[in-house]
Amino acid sequence: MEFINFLHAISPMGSELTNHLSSIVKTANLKKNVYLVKVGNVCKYVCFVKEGLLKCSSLDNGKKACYWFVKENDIITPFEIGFEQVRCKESIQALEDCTLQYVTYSELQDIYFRFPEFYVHRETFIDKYVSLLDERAYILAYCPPDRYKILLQRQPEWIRRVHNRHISSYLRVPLSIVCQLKKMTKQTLAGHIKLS
Amino acid sequence: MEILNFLNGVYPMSPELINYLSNILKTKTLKKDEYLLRAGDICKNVYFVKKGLLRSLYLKGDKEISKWFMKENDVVYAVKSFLEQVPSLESIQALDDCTLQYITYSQLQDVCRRFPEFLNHRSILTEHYYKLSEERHAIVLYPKAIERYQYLLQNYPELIGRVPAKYIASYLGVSKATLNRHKNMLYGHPKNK
Repeated sequence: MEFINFLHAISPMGSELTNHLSSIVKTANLKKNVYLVKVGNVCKYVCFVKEGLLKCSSLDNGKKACYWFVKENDIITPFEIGFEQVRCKESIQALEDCTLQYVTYSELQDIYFRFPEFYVHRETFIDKYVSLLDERAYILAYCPPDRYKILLQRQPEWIRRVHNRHISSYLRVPLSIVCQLKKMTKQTLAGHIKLS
Repeated sequence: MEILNFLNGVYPMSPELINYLSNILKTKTLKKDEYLLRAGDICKNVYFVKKGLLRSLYLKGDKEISKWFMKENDVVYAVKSFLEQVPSLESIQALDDCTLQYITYSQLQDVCRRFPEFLNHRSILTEHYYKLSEERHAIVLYPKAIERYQYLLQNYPELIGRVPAKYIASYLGVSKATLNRHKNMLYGHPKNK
């Protein structure tokens, strides 16, 4: 099972934990545009993305903004799942049809209790979100055309797969500018464009 | 050792863990303007500021963008670089003479393995700095520099007092002249009184 292989790669797991996970990990399909969780709801799952693409968004100054995107062979879950089952500040939505492998929140708590070795994996889930936030802060420190260029260098697949309006939201760059930059990139970007 | 008091304040530690950390923690001094880390290098250590002031910054050609400022009792590291052991996106520079206490990435992994109780500290601190990062993230998105300045003034007045104006201006994304104008708008220009 891909989720279990992913967890093994973070830190090798004992046979008892591996067998336990094999017996509880479930598979679910999520259609494009369907929400895994919405702001204010309690998120009940930790999911591994076997196939597909999702976005995590929250509110920036009252406006909905993308925080990051998650594709195949990665974990997606609200940050709060790492600590306690509180109401989520984020929404998670499928941008493509997805196949997810998951465990529930209560199953996760049971694993932490019975298998202390799994704390290493828990820390990795939390670290991931800190890293993603840090990366976005880096990108947002620059002017809009540079933000697009940096994202293209660091996450070219996001540019390729994610709709321009979500890229616009992630980069905090007007949609019209993102469309122009994407077009120019295709024609080989040479220099910045002036923003009016 | 101050860092041990700090960690004990985060979550009580067993005598064995305290003893172990005492033996592995190292101290580093940094002169004003010296770099602790340069962009492109891997951040191999996590630091505790015993004394001093530092800033993290991004470099774009000959231009600098200040990311944040760290002072006594703060934990300092380049987050993504340290957690993933990849080249850092940011540099870290001393703004005063500094005294830092630190452990390496591999020592941190080792402590967590030997003392599962230390995962409590790791979790609490990571959560704390995640929430700080989220908050600072939100500041960056205020459309007006004066709003960002007001936020700093209300929530981190000690930074306004300590950090040189040119770095505050760099953090806000404005020139020093613009920063002075914002200050005058908030406090009133002496000539207007």
